[in-house]
Amino acid sequence: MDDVDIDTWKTEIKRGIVEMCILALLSKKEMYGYEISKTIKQLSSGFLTIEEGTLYPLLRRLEGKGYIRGEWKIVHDKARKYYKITSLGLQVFAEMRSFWKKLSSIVNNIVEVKEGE
Amino acid sequence: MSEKEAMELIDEYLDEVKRYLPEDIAEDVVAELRTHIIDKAMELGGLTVRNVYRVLRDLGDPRELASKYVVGGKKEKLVFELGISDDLYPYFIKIVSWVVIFVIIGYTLKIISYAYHGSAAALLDVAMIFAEMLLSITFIILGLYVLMSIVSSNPDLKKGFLKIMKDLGLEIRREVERAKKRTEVRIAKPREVTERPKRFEEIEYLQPFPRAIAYSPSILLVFKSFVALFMAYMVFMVSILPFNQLMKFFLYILSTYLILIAVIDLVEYFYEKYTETRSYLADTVKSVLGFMFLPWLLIAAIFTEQIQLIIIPTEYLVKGYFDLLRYGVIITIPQEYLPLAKIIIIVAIIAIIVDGLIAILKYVRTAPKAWSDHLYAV
Repeated sequence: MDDVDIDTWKTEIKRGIVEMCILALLSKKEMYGYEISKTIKQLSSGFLTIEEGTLYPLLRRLEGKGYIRGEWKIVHDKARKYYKITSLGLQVFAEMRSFWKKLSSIVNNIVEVKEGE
Repeated sequence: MSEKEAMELIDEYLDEVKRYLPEDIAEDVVAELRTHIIDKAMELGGLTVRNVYRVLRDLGDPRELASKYVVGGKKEKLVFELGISDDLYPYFIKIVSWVVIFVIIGYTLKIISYAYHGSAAALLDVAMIFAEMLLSITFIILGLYVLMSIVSSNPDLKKGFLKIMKDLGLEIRREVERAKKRTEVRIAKPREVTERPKRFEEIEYLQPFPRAIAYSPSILLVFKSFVALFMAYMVFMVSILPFNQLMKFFLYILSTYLILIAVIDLVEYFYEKYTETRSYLADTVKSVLGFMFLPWLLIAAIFTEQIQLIIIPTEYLVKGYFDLLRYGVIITIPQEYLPLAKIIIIVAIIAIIVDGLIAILKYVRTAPKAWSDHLYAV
């Protein structure tokens, strides 16, 4: 596997995770687009970054699926579109989270297996 | 670098994004992007042109950004914008080369088979096969260009196309990587923006043609303009000779064409001098002007025997242009030259059409690409 393939693999893994992270953040509180992007970057210490050119269309897609709902609000004299998670989004997130836990533990078992075990 | 200029820059970028968005979501998306750009620019140190450029660079090409909302979104819709992206261009060239080679081989076989079975004297028929070949190649290239433009405009289609190429073992890794590297270098090492004396140099990046900065027009344009005017006058003078209607029609078109070229050259010179930007539109219009000759060429292709030539009898020693008017004798085209004349006419028709279409495609293609170019140039 050369560099390019590894990069593609990393990007694909991250892409799926980012959707879950967005739902996770919005399950705690409502946020606007840029805030979501900054929070993900901050919480992952810069490991997970989402390009703005990808974030906003992604938010629109999640909104289209009914997982989140956007609403324009004026906070501190600034009009911004805040997103909040819907009940359907919470259900999807719960499923994602349990799947992720299972997957990560199984994958860890496989990847971290030591010789002789 | 005022806030007003930065806002103008944002407006122009968002207008471009809006152009490619479905109407029902356009306003909302643009409003959200606007708040994002302003927020981020403020975080970078204020609403300046430089900061706004950085934010826009991260957002990327407006067309590509808009396409992400359309393709794979709620509203699955095929986007079409003329122009092939950098990573697909090597494939386009490769496909075109192969197709052209096959077409040429096919038609060559047809010509050989015709020469073998048909009459050797049927030069015109062979010329027609040749013209048919050129026309086929033209349409194939145009068709492929449009097809690849559709693939370029839709990220999902593009991904699918690249995957198919990879699976078939036809991946052009070297060229694609080189194109990617070029882009990365442009992003990684942005040109330093130091002091810019005039506002237009900043805003110039918004013009469709990025390499248009500080362009100084050549005085050659004025010279060319006067030469064209002089030639138009000479052609018009020739038209007083007793030519038939077909040839008079040609001479009038030619002199009108030369006058228009002269006017465009002159306008181009002053435009470029005033705006300090190269006028690509003028180049395009000049190429398209060739279409003026098409009606005459089509008539001449049918009534080729009506074409007249002007010759000087050998007993006169011609010293200049006016001797041509005085001693010139008008003759009709000799019979044995008719097939050759027809070939030349057909080739001229094809050349004019191809040249005009290429000029238009080039002009149209440059516009949507420009954004990414000058964003990277900041």
